[in-house]
Amino acid sequence: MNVASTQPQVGQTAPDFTLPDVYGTRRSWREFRGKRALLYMWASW
Amino acid sequence: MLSVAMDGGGVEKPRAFVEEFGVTFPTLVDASGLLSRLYGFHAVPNGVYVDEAGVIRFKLFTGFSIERTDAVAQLESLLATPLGNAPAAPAVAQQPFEIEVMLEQAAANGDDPALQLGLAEAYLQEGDNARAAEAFARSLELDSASANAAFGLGAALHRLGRTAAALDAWGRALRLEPDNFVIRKQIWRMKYPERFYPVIDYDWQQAQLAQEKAAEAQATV
Repeated sequence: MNVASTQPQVGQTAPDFTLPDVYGTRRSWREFRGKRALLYMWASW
Repeated sequence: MLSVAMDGGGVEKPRAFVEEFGVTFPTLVDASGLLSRLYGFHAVPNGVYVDEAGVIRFKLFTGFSIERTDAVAQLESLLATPLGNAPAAPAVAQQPFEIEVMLEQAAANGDDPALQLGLAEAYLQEGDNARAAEAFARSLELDSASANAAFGLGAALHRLGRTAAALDAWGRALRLEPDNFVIRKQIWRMKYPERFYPVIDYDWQQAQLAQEKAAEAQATV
């Protein structure tokens, strides 16, 4: 959370990550390679 | 469309949302704040639009919503542009997390907090919460200013059923980053569940924030 200086900006490549979905299946940002995608970050609170 | 819920408390709550609203796109759960660290944000909701080459073309942090007509207009105009020479989409590879490799790296560099943090996040994703807690704690030991390590430690402890210890760790994370709303709201979600269900009480949140900020200002005098 302390990486403000390195956060990806418009014009830069979006960083890869892997996280489990709500059913526990691991999904990766790589799955969207070659596609236009909207990454939406939210919380249930 | 890929949605990521920044819920440190587990998958049940975001899963309930997904099922209630019949969400058709994948929804992932980021319990340890991995994306907060990658993108350097302290609050949600956030939107990032990426083109077919994997390049970020639009980014709106804190307050991204379909009701933001300016944001929607920008996204529509980006979507209206013809496809470029995008690289062919590769076959979807479910790459296993290479915990063994991370373990070797972490063992060889025992004093690297970032490696411990990566290992901890991998354990948490594997569901090995005990080892995740250990690695987050080790990372925090090595870098006592890391809110991310403290927040992740809280997520792992919470999953181990150690609620009080989880709240302690999240409290430490918040002291390190008082303006981080992902952390602050996670604490509220645990301590005051009645303010979040059946409806989220935003008036209460504002009053609570003002009260906590005043107390924090006192504490630092």
